[in-house]
This record gives sequence, structure tokens and C-alpha cells, in this order.
Amino acid sequence: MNRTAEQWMTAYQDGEEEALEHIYTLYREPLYSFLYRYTRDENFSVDVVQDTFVKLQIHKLQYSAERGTVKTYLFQIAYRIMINKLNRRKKWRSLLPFLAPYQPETFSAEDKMTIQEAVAKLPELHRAVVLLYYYHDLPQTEISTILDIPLGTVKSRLHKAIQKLKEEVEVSMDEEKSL
Amino acid sequence: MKKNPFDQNEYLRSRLDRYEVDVPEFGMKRNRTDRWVHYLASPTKNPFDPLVNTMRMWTLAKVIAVVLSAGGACLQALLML
Repeated sequence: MNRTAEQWMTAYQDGEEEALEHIYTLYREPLYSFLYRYTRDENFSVDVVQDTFVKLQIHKLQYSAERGTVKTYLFQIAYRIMINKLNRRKKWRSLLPFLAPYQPETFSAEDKMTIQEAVAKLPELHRAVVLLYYYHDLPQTEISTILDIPLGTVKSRLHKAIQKLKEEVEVSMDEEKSL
Repeated sequence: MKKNPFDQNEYLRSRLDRYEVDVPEFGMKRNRTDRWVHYLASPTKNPFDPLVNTMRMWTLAKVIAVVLSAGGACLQALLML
């Protein structure tokens, strides 16, 4: 049965439990990819995807198709969970550094700038905007809903992030040429 | 139609397209045991790293551990008396 995510969500809200499996199948990969590109932490990303669906089950009736797509709703939940967890982790790291998980920087063995490194070097707020815009084809209005920031801020952050990424990859391009 | 800011940056786009993510297999339901195991297995910062940097400090750290355990043993022995 071919239904849109919004139709599956409505079915789920009406009590059709299997509809949740379809929503999970549709958004498991995009959510994981976003979280992984943001954090570069596999286990953390899996945990956040699973927590997102737990939250979706608890708050399933809060979703309304008039307010936006299921994709935006799920990304919004996932982003909030991720930020809360990261903030908690930062707090733990400052109090008890030997108990808080620590993700070592594991970039490519070659000593040149990779795109992964360039993305990871972006400030957190710029990183989220670029990832959602470029990899997930989300319009700027929906990004502003997900990140809970004004549309103008999304535009300026996207512009700044592109400039920063360009600078980083141009340095790497120059290095490649000089080799 | 809105202009895509990446359209004028062919090189940047080609680099961004190289950033692929391998999505592992995982279920929708969370497993607390798995999470606990991952937490225990996740790397953390060694609080003694600054000490390890110098040989003298490293030796001192070992001596402190020995002195503390000896002190603890003496204290325990005294409490038993």
C-alpha cells in the first residue's frame, strides 16, 4: 500500500499500529545520517533515532499535518533530543571528564582536509543548517521550524556556513594541487 | 523559483557529495543493556593524562597510589584493633 508519510501518520494516530513501522522505515536512515554527520558518533546517533521514535509514540496526537510534514516533525524531535543529550554530556565532561563518553577525532589518515573534517569544524548552529539544507533537501522555512530560529537567521547561517566550507575545501584543493 | 546557494559552488558540491554515511542495522526499540554496554565501551579521557606527560609526575602518581593504599590498609588494621 503506497501512502505518504502524512497518511501513515494519520493512520497511526487513528490506532493503526503497523503504520509506525512504515514511518520508521521511511525516516530511520535520513535521521541517522543527519545525526551522524552532526556528531560523528555511531552509538549516540542510534540512541537518538530510537529516542525520537519513543517520543513520537508518546506524543503522536500532538502532530498535525497542517503544521508541517512528518519529516519536519521527526527532525525537530531528533534535533531537540540530540542538543539536550549533547548539553548534558558537556556538563558531565566538565564535572567528571573520565565518566563522560568522549569521541576522539578520527579523520582520514592522509594529512589533508576532508569534507568530514570541514563539516565537523563548522560551528554547531551552522552545521545543522548546512546538513538539513544540503543533505535532506529541507526548505529554509522548515529548517527554521526544526531549529526554532527565525528564517532570516537560517539564511545568514547558511550563507556563512557555505563561505566557511568553501574556504576549508579551497585550502585542501590548493594543497592537492601543490602535491 | 528560489536560487540554491550551492549551485554556484560546483567544487564544494562535489566534495559534499563524497560525504556518505553507512547506516547500521538497528531496531526501533531501544535496548537498555546495549546502551549500558556501549557506554562502558565508549572511550573517555584519562584523568591522569597530564601526569603521564612527564616521567617524574608519572612516578609520583604511582608512589601516591602505593602510599594511599598502604595508608588505607593501616587505617583498616587500626580499626580492627
